[in-house]
Amino acid sequence: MLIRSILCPVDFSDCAENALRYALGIAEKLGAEIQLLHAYEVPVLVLPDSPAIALAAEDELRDHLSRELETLARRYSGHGVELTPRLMAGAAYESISTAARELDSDMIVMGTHGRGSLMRCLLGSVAERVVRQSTIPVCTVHAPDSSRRNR
Amino acid sequence: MTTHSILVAYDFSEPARRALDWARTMHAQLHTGVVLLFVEDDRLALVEGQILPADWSKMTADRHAMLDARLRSTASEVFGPDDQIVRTRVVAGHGAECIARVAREMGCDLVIAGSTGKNAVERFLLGSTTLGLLRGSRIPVMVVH
Repeated sequence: MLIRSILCPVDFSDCAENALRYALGIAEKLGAEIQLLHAYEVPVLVLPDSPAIALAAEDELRDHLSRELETLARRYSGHGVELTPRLMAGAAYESISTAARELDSDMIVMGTHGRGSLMRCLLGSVAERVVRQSTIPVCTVHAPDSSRRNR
Repeated sequence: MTTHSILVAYDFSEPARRALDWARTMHAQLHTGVVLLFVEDDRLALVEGQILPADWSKMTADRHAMLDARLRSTASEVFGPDDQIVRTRVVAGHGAECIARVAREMGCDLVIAGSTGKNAVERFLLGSTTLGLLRGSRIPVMVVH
């Protein structure tokens, strides 16, 4: 049971960034790599009896998120840990599950809740689903205390 | 954020053993200490003299010593004879809050818990203690399947 590759899904929230810092601490000691994953969906407006309307141009959204993810990866480079940003189109849980399988991840490290979750929900629906259904170990990390106080 | 000491809540079950095996992996690679904790449900005292013997509470010290010896035996089986690696604790309490409290008191910075089952349906049914830890623990929690 060697840990060589850690999948770290992020949604640019404080909590996800805290999980990334935790993953880096482990990866640094283990000599493991980190796959930094962000999954996105194009927001769509659905009205009765009419086709769905995309609320953002997918190309622009992808380019923007790609830059954000690379900026995040650069900010945490320099720990001697190989950090690879990966952007995937799709729902969060399905993307995390697919990425873990395709990238042959040994462990998932993620925040307990994402940007969209209320802080009083101490375990977000995505994290809970990943923990329940993953076949590899999942480590969940809470938001830093200062972040909890500020909300 | 680094990991120095890992807590495994151990109840001699198969999921707990899987969690312990992962603690051994993490110890081998991260050189962490390990705390092996057995939580005896303190609600058992409510049925003293009914389902349990009338001297259940009086026997607590003996029972905890016996459980601690079993924990130490398990630790030695998994980690070898080096008694500097694993600390054992037997406490009376209940659920996730008790585990999180002991983890804090003993300076642990990661809790490893085993999920209840191997197949997809059983994995979906996380134990209530594991779910409580995921929701309430301020320390990172790792769930292994």
